[in-house]
Amino acid sequence: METIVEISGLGKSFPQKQGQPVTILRDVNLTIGAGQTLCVMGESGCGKTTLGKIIAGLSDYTTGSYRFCGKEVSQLKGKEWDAFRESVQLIHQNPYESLNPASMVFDIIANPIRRHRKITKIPELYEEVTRLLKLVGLTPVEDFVDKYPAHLSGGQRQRVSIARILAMNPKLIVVDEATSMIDTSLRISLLSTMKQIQQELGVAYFFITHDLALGKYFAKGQAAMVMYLGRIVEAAGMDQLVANPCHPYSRAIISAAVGDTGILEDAQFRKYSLKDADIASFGNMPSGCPLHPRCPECIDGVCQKTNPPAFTVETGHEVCCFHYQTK
Amino acid sequence: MTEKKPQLKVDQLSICYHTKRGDLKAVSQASFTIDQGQSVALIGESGCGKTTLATSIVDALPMAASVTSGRILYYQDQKEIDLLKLKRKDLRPLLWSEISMVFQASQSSFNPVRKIKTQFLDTVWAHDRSRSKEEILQRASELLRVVMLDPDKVLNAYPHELSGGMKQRTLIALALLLEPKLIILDEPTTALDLLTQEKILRLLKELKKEHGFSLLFITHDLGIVSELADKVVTMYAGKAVESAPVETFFRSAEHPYSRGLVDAIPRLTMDDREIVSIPGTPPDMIEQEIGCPFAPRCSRCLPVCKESIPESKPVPGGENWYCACWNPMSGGDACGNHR
Repeated sequence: METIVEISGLGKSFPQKQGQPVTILRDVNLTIGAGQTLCVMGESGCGKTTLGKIIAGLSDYTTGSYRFCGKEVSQLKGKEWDAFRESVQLIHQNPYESLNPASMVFDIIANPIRRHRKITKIPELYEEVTRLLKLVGLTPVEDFVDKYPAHLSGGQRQRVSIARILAMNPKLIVVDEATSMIDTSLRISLLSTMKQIQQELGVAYFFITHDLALGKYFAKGQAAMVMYLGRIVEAAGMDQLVANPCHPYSRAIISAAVGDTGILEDAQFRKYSLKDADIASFGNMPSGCPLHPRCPECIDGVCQKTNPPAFTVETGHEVCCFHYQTK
Repeated sequence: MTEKKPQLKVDQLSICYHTKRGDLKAVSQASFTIDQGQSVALIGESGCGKTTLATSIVDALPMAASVTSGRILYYQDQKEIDLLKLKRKDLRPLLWSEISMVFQASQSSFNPVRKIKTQFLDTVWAHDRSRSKEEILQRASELLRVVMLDPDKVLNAYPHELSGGMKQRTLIALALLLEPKLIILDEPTTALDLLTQEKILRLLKELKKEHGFSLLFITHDLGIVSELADKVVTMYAGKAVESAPVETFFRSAEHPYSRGLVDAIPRLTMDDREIVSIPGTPPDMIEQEIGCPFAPRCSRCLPVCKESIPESKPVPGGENWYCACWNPMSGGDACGNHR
């Protein structure tokens, strides 16, 4: 399997007007293979969008390395940089703000083709736009090409932005909470379309979400990571992660997602909650393990001092927690 | 709770928005009841009129909207009050002391230039000028402690100094300040992360047990519904299409739309279950067609569905269970409708 994204020791910090720069991402390691999905989960403000922006090339990184198809991204220039930007695309969170309200659907999709693929004849363009719209399930195509974004529902808009992205033949699509603004009833059909596109075209997804169940549905059988305060605290296969979460934070979010009434989910999980301490922020990062003030299993004298490195629990399942040091 | 007395009854309520393209019926002939101490979830996709219905209860509708028919009955000490007929000066004492509402954008519900303390004091003094500052602040501190906030820090803070979750919890404390009998929560936990959301849900459940108030909450997250609700009211295109006890709703919803919603949520613990989404797009609320508004998207659509609107009828064998459908999931005759 070809690896397209290779990130090791990646870090990002933002300088402040006063005082120390604030570090958002620390020591991020991940790889994405061609045609694979990597699902990133974590609470708001844990740095998952920043990571997505770095991967899409919209933001630079301060330390570590990010290699795309074997080339270091910060060293790319000119044509190579353009090619990189074409092969990584981003689906935005809010479909109501990411489409030009004054352009017809046809132009929204055709403009990037005119610009990058130099196809300018209308019949050829029309053929290409038709192919893309069919791919994302906006059929009959004639009903959609002359519509403006205002005529479309959230799910349809998101499909238009996916069609626009596919016009570039990307290798990787960064999906940043793309379904959180869409109604529950329409979410699943959008996700199944995206999965189908993956099977047909072999694109890879970097899927950012805070909805665990949605992540599990989308990245079934694929890789998943849990982030907390800018660090990857647990990385495993999606099914492994849900069946056997190891990090206390992962256990708490999965327990919270399952709930305790047993109406929606079969309550097979033991209830697990974190302590009600102040939630740490990037401005005031706790020493040692970032979770230790809230962790019910904090080991005195260890967790406060050192940040745990990744320990392997089983093949393909890594956890940053001292409880798994000897195991 | 020994016997069930109604707290609020929405009866055949219709609300219209006046727009350039014509009248938009945001709510049409919706009816449901909230019993004392009950928590009712109002679900449905965006634009189906959930928020409009809830804001009409506290008379906070936007200028362009007006109630065209129906009644909202509120029960205060055995007395029945129609909130829509009340004069403004008679309604205002009821608001916040009997019915309080936590709005959707709770992040911006506070006045940004006044301290939280002042906003608590103002709220009480608007209703009862005679209470002393110390008394109110003590009560406020108690409530803030209940929602797990540090009262000294929060009361002396300006809204921008609090995080989203803290503001939401402060607002819930403010809503409880005058011990209302009914609290309306519009999307109580959007914009909160999973752990804070769980905390707030647990808190609301405990407070409800302790104070015995009723809850009406609006959401489209069925996870929250399963945690907090006693009863679920499904809205589609401004109509309350089904009203069912929460377990019945998740186990065997009668209306095809409710069933579609339940089937469309991915779950963590169930493997290899086929998830089916509802086909089609939400209806145009201005140019409404005759017949059931869900008919174009419905897999169980019959000729009669396109001709007339089904009425809400009790489901046989179910307590407090109403459904408006010509061809419900358990078969056409179950609702006493013809096939």
